[in-house]
Amino acid sequence: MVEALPLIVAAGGFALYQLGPSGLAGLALAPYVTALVLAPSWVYPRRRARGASLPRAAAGASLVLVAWLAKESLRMSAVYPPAETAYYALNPLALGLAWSAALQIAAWEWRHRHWRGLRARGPALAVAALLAVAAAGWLALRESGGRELIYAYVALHGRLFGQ
Amino acid sequence: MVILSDNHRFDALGAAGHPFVRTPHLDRLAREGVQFTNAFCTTPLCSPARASFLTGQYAWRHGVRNNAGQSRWDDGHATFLERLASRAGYATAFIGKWHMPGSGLPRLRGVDHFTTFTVEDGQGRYFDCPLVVDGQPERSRRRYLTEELTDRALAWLAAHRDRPFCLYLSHKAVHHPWRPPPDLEGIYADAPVELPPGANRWTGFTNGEIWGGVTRPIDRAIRSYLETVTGLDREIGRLLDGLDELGLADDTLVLYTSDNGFLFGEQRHVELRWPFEAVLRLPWLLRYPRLVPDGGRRAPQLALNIDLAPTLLELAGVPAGPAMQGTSLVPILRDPGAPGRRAFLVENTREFPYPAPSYRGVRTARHLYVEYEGRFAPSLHDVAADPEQRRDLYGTPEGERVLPELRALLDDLRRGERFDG
Repeated sequence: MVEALPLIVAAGGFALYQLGPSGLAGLALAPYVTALVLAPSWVYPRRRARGASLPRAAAGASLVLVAWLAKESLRMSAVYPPAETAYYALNPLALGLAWSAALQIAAWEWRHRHWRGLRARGPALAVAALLAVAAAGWLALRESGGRELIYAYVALHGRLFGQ
Repeated sequence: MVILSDNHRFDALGAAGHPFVRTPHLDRLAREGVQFTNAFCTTPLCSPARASFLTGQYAWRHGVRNNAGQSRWDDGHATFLERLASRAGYATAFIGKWHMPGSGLPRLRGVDHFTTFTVEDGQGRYFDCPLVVDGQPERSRRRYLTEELTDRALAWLAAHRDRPFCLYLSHKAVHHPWRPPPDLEGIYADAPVELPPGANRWTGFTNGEIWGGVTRPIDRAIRSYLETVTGLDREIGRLLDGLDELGLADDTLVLYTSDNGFLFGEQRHVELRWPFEAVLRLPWLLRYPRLVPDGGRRAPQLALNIDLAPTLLELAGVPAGPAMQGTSLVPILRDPGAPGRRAFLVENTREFPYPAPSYRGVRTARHLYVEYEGRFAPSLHDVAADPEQRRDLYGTPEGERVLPELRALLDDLRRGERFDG
């Protein structure tokens, strides 16, 4: 299954990061983060080339993100009750990854509709879009705009859960 | 003069043996005063710790349990500043970081002058930070906040030199994003940073700790942190020189401490909140020549953030009152052999979305025992033999031997017992 490769890479990278020697941490984190961020660019074109509809291809492209959210929910559930754990799935980082995935899918669809045939194309434009998204995200985190976003997310949590 | 910094680790100064950070002015305080080598916060987090300094109370009593809105500062709290003003006629000033949950700024009873900032949720900015001075917005005259706050502190000291005063100077430094003054940026770029066991450059990027705000490799973060420490130390120097020039040095108690430390990879955390030594321990440098003429002493007795208030009140001849849970350190200042407390409570209340759970624990001179909420087993460490807390004794024969006493101590502390000797 084409979705399996990014999932394996992400899981393997994370396991190596958690359990492996400190010296390999950077090497382990790289595939984990790359798979988490770029899985849509790998999976989506291949599923579309095999005839999957946009929703089905998008679902397959989101598997790594969903697996990551499941891992994070498990971690959060050790500290927080179920409702707050569920709210955590809407955190700015998760939303940013979902947005990035949507951009990658949109970029592929835009390119595909201007090309003849259904050949899966390389993810060059998606990568460019991703870099732009990553740069925007990095800038947002670096400048107070990113912190304000997090403050708003936490403030909404306070209103929802009476804290 | 109480100088409270932010997230300054107990080991990040020259007097504590740091291999390269330059803190000549803090080292001067240690040489001329008393360095408490076992000083701790009782909740390793900004707002609860700050409230504990002001009220002399544990977080469970003053109610500011974390930085979130569930635990608001109550203007009805009697701070030591208010008691100094109302009972002993002290001129009082609060200059700097307030950062307490609640709506807006407090009405600080008994405080004559209140300069602070509200941007970034009360954290302020290192550069170009707008101020609020006695309720009115005011532009900063200097670009760098630490320098601006020092200027204002010196001006206030000069204006109140002829009467008893208490200045509470609360710096944003050295809270992240750790921006040093421009002339100090990069001074430790080539310094050898050694990470704690088990940590790597990317520790803090996973497991939810990125919400703590550290978004770069921790070796780089540590260098910026230490550069910011040196920048803060320079301003401490200006304050000490200012006291000398005003002729106030001998009659002024100067205490330098921090709200809590910071974990830079210890136990694979880049965070606050967790019950580990690097975030619980504080620098605590106290100079008061009238009482302690023999500078350079190191005091091993336990000293807590909740002890500040009763200490200053005793020196001013003001009763601390029964609501305060701290213990005056004056006996220790007078007599190096005076006994200290036996144990204290360590506590945390979880705060979304941070990964640290709620817990209550007891710290004695030798052990730290912690009981957590959620799916966390208790932990027990012999912090005297194992200061890095690498070996959890919970469930071991050695741990079982000491556990009954520690559990009893914890139960007593939860009930509000004191352990002063």
